Amino acid sequence: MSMKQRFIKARYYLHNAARFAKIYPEEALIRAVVIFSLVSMSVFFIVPLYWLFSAAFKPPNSVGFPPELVPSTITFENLNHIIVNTEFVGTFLVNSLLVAVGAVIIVLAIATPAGYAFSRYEMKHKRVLMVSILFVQMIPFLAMIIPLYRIFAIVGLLDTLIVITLVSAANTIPVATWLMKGYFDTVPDGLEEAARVGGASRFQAFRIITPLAKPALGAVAIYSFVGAWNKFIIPLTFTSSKSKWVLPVALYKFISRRGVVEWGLLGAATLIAMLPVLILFVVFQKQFVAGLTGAEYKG
Amino acid sequence: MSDSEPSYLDGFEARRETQTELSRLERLYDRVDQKLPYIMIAPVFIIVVGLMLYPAVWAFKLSLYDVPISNLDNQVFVGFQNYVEILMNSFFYKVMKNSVVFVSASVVGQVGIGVTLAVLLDRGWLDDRLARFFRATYILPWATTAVIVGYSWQFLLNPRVGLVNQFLRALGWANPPPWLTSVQWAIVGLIIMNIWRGTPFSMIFQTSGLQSIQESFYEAARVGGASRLQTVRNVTLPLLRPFILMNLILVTLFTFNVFGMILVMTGGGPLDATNVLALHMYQTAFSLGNFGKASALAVLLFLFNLLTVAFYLRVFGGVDQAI
Repeated sequence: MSMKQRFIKARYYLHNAARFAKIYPEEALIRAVVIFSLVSMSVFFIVPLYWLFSAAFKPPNSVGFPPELVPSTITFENLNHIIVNTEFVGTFLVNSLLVAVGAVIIVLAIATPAGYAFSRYEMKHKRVLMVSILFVQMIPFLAMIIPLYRIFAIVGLLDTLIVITLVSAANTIPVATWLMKGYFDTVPDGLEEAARVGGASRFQAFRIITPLAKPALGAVAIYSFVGAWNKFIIPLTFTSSKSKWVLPVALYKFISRRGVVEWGLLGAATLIAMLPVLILFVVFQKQFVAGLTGAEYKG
Repeated sequence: MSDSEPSYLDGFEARRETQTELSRLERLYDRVDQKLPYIMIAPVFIIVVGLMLYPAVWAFKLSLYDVPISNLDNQVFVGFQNYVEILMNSFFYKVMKNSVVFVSASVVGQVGIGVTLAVLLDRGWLDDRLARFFRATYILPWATTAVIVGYSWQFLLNPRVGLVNQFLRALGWANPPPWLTSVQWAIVGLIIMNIWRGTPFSMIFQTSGLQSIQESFYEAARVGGASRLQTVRNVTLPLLRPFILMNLILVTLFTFNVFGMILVMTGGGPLDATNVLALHMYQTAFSLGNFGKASALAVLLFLFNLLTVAFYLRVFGGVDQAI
């Protein structure tokens, strides 16, 4: 579309809006208020992250007074420094990825069959069982953290990535199971019926139907990935040596070690830490939204 | 094989007759297959019981003991002494007050804004593409780790280089508050941050609630000649009630346990003005090393969670509303 066409289109749009406002002043006012508040909420939600990330591209001493909303000169010095001179990418990012991917595998491997079984088979006390796994999640995590610490100390797993992976996965499994159950409920069982009549075992029937649940598998994968990726208190408590830090812990130590805050470097480090989540957000937007709450595919 | 299963899953009758001819391995496979539903759900319960329920019960037991940090195995049973010590100390009430302020302000703000946004983005106020765009811009804070949330607000609220005070000065407030270093304003900053963080969750939760409302209700309202505002007030909100209740419960439970962001932002200071119950518990355990007392605090935290849920259910009416 040429500039001129665009201009004409905008003029028509404005003209129409003005006419609409003249005929239905009340309706137009409501609409203007709605749009204004939605836009200001967008600003409210985006600016805090933008402000921190944009510091990454500002020259080290330009983060100061007065604050600049758009950096006047863009530099990659900060990002470069973090990537080359620190272990953010080499160690912490790798640790975070290992933990998050491990958690996704565990959650999918456990929650998918469980969700399937809850959806397809009658069991004694099914409802009680299902509600009880959600109820357990209402127990504050803080209450479990001390005993878990003791258990892992006894087993000798303290200060390993396995612990973080396991606990993060455990945290997401209840909701993931419900999500999978809800989705399997919406998949018609004709295909399995045919398979079973044809002599397939229960397990084979499950294997036939699972590919049909791809959207829910994607949402669960994103839910558990982001959940594990963002865990902070769990790794902070259960790991101590630097080689086992994941990104949130590394970021936390980053400031408390330096005292004086270098906002540019901090911005660069946080940007790296947020990057995988941002990529998932852009690529899988629909599943991302569904996956974050676990509410979308329910009932 | 239990009788209650749907008949088609019972398999092929003819196959069972030929079972004698199956090899031992095949018979074993068959037997496992019959129990498959239970095998499928077992891992969930092993994990839930092993990593969540059992530790929680253990925490209750620990709360009745005096656990010296020097020798964790040398535990002395002290009954309810940990609880008595906590409840006798005025510091606990200060922390409690902070918690109640932090939680209630966050919950009201978060659920209020979340419901409003969900309703505004739901039906016909805007065209679909625009609504989807707005919804996408609102989601990111919920996917951000507590540390980054803490840092980005620390940066924003910084009196010297932060945007917020720059903005307030431009509006004509000559001496904007120093936020995180001020005893009165620090908790306000934390509340704003927490609302920012949690509102997307409420919004998506309510959006899925709105999707469950049947079109016929809106049609009835339209036929009856209701205006948009009337429709929202008399159709949407009443039907959204169970979702709002569930959302209030969930958000309250979350918020009582929030302290990662606070640890990053203020560490509980200045002068414990932002020390909440969850943070206090964590520091009692891992800074002071008093596991017994910390467990007692955790049990108290759990009791407050239960009390709030009971309170909501009472105010809003029965459990059925929530499920």
